[in-house]
Amino acid sequence: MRSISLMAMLVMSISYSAQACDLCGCSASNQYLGILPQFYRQFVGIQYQYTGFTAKQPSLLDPADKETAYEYNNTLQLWGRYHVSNRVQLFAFVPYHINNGSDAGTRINTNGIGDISVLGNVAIIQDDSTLKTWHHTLLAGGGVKAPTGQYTGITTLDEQGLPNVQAGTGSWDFIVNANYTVRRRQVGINADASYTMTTANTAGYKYGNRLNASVLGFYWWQKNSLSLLPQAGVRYEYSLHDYDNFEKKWLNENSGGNIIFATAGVQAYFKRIGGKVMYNVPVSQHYASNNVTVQPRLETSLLFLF
Amino acid sequence: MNLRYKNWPVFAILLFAMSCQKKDNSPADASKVTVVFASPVEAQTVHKGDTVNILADVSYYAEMSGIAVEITDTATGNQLYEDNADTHSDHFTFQRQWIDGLNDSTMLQVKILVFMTNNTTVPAERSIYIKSLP
Repeated sequence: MRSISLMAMLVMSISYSAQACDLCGCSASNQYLGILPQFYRQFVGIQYQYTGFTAKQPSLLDPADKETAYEYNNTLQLWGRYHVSNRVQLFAFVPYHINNGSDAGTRINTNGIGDISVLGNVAIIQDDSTLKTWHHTLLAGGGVKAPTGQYTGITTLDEQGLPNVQAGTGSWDFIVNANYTVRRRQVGINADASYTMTTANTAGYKYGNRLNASVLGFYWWQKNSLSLLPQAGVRYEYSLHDYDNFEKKWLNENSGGNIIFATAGVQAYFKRIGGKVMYNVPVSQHYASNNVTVQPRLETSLLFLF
Repeated sequence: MNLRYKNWPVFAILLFAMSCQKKDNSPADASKVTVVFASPVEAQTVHKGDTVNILADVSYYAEMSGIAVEITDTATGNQLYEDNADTHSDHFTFQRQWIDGLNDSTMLQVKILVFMTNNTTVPAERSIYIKSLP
């Protein structure tokens, strides 16, 4: 019987930012790939992510008067992994966004295919499966996010602060990441960091560069063909300010910030099928000068291994 | 392996340098705000029940954060209408509508307020005056 290698790889976390509105600038949705199985080299899967935030924006005419806004993002994402060689693996992500929001009473609903990402990772340290106790894996690599999602440019609504709900960002982004996993017998720790370098989109808007980092502890429980991996830890996200116009250096100081999540969840594998549920609760956040409150996030995924 | 470790600080510094954010530090200058009223026009006369189209082309030499309009009865000082819109541009076409419901003849001030990103607390103001008749 094959066993799941707990030298699995939490490859990276990349952020899909549907645009930043007048206030948010937070990563509208974030994705973490989670601990991946190694005993099958390829997989395809579908993920579901739910994110949201509420915001209070000081009114232009009366700063004491707060205009309210909210945004909820549901993302279904097709993704997969392909081993190019023993050490090099490629990942691809094709998201479909279903977004709805409201700003000062104006409701916006959009959906559509988002920006497609491709990542390449190299296993700098590979797990030695002959070892009985300690196991290590170090991955590093990077990738690119292409502006394949619909982005309508600067519309009147965008100018009024409602561009968040677009499916695409209109920009090319570049990602670097590193991931280290150590395990002793059934217990392990994963440390992960990724950095997304954004570029200005066709409308001159530039999302802030983003840092994502996480530390997760996990336990591997196995019986027959069933494996369970309960896991918990913390995640940290930091976003620089967006630029309303990067060429003119119009820095949007009502965007960007940082957040710490407490996260917990479980992964399960049964033969060629895998699943995951993760729940992330903000324990500390400072976004958009504290005018934005990020809501808890839910992530689920289903994998087919081959 | 040592070489790899030695590269990490360089990589970190590179990322840090890329994180520096330049900002447009143009000084606020309300005199550089331009408001061109397409509607209404100065001294225009409107009557009770008329829809007053407010259409103004607003521009500034740096980024604006918002445009607002206020309509005030100059005889009483009562503010009859106000509305605003956020923006993130140096050019904005502001459009609103107001229905005149006044029973008495009076002069109305139609004031456009322009909030500049480099000074959001004191907006630039441009006004025209129109007549309201029953």
